[in-house]
This record gives sequence, structure tokens and C-alpha cells, in this order.
Amino acid sequence: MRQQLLVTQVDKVFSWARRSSLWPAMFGLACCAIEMIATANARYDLARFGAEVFRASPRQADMMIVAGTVTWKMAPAVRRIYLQMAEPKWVISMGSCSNIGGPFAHGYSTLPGVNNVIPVDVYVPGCPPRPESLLAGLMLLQDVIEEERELGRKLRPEPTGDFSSMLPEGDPIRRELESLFPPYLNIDGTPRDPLTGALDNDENFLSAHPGADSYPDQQSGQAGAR
Amino acid sequence: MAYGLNLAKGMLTTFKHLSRPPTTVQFPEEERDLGPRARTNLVWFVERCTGCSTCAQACPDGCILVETEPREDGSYLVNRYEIDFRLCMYCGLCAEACPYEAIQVGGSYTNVQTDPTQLYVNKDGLIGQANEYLESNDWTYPNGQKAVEQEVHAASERQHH
Repeated sequence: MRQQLLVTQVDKVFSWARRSSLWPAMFGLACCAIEMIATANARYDLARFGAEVFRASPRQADMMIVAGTVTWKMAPAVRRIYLQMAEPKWVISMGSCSNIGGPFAHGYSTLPGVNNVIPVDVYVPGCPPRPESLLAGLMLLQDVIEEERELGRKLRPEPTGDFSSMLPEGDPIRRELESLFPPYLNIDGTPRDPLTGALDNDENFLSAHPGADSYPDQQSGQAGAR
Repeated sequence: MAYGLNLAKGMLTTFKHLSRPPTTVQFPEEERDLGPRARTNLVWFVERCTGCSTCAQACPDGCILVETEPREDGSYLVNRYEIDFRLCMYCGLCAEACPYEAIQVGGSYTNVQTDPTQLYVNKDGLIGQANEYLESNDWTYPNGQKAVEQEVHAASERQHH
């Protein structure tokens, strides 16, 4: 009993520390990034919430603000950067484009919602959202973190990693994306080392997926030179 | 000598800024005044809407859904009016197209959600948002016109019959 009480108190301190120093990974994709920069500047001052230190490395970040249009070509990079972040980690989807595709939702080149690739905690609507909207999203994320401590689990749903309805069979981007989802198998079906696997190393991925860096030839279906 | 001079110049700029008031807006407590063309949420006022669907035709994203049925007196009953705020790019073309200014730009900009389906707002949700807007803004529409409280309530009631 005494031990449990101690653990809950320590959890409370951890949760407080986590939600009051959310360091974002620097990840601006489109015009939403301009509003994200405006939020960090003096007028709105993200530092009031302890989230001002935009880290250039995902290893040092707690939170990812997906600010802008995620194209299919960018999607594996988004997933990879998310996987490289240390737990616990949270994601804010900022703007209509990353929420569901926005104006490009019916297009061929844009991911229909970044929640197909990474789990998203908070959705901020807007095109682009005002800096106040992003601040409101950050405050909601702080509430979510506190709620997760009380529940003892994450609230967000995980993506399935099923791209069969969006990308054709044999698409190099689809193969790359599927290799970034559990159970993290190589192309020959052998399990990959979760620590040193191809998740954060492009060379490993290319040696395991021959021809992944070139598009298949229209006639033969074989991978050809770029 | 030159080094000291440049340092003094820099410090002078710093001292100038010391006496200025801070620029930071303490957001949750105080909010900035919105510009007339700020891209905020759309507010739909059922008492002004005739169900002509001009907004839905003007929308480049196709995020507005309107479904109507004729009443006995020749006017339209709006059965469904839904806006997908996940898709909306807040361009305001619907508000520009509307001949009766029934849909206007100027609503809330802090409707963040943990569940994206909450951003798909149906008719009851939009009526609730509009009434909330009018109540907190002294029964004035975003375009500056005054709303008649009884008309708004009567129109909201009329939708259910």
C-alpha cells in the first residue's frame, strides 16, 4: 500500500514534468510551419508553456507537431522520425492537411490524414491554424497527458499499417512504409533487430529492399534505373 | 576603441527595448482582436438560411453538405446542413457566395479535438455553435448586423418540426 502510494506520487511528478516541458521536434512541412514559428516568437511565446525548445534531433524531442501537408513521399520520413523519438512521445496534427488531407484530400499525392502513419493525440483545425489554435492544442495535449496518467494508458488509437486501399501492390513507398510497422520484418520474412534494424538507417533498408529507390518499369514491372 | 563603440551601440538598442511594454499576449487569459478577414471558423445561422446550397457549390473542397425539402408555403426546410472542418480550408468563399449572409466567417478558432470525427459538425452542432456565438457577442452577427433573439430561437425550434 505504501509502495503504491509512493508510485502514484512519483507518477504525478513525472506527469507534471512531462507536460510542462514538451520539447517539440522541428518538423515544418508547409505553410503551417510559418504559424508554428509565429507561435514560438515573442507575441505568442510558446515558452510560457515550456515548449519553446525546438529540437533539430528527434532523439531529444517529446512531441512532434506535424505542421503541414504530408505527401506520400514524405510519409516514410514522418514515420521514421516518429519511431526515432524517445518514449513517452506525443503528436499534434496541425492544420487541415495533416488532419485529413485538407484541400488535397482527393488528390493522388497526399496522405489522407497523418493518423494513417503515426498515432495522433491532438488535432488542430485550421488552414493554417492561428497561433492561438496551436496554443489551445498544446493546452489540450497537457490535459491529455494528465488524463493518460490517471488511466495508465495512451488514449490515442494506433495506426494499422494497412495501405492496401491507398497504394498499389509493389509500390516502393508502400513497401517502405510497411517495413516501418510492427513486426518490422525484412523483405524475406526474417525478423529485424528492433534496436539496430533498418528503422533509422537507410542503407540497411536499401540492401534489404533491392530496387526500393527506383520506380518499377511500366511494361515489365521490374525495378528499373531512375 | 571601435569595439567598445559597437558594444555601446548594441547596449543602447537593448536599453531602448527595456522601457517598452512587453509584446506577449497572454493567450488563454487575453485574446487579440481579430482582423476583418481573419480565417476563423464558419458560423451558420439557420434563421437566415433559405437552403439554396450556393455555399456548397462555391466550396472548392466540397466540405459543405446541404439537403433540403420543400415546405407547403414554398420555402425550403433544411434537413441536413453539415460542415467537415477537417477538410475546410477556411477560405471564406462560401460566406462570400451566400446571398443572405447565412454562413459567415468569424467564429471560434480554438476547437481543438482529440477525436477527429468531432470536427465533422452536423446541423444541430452548427445551430448550437451559432447560438453560442450570438449569446456571447450581444446578439450581433459577425458582419455587424443585429440579430433578433426571438427570431433566432423560433428558427431553431422550427427546424425540429
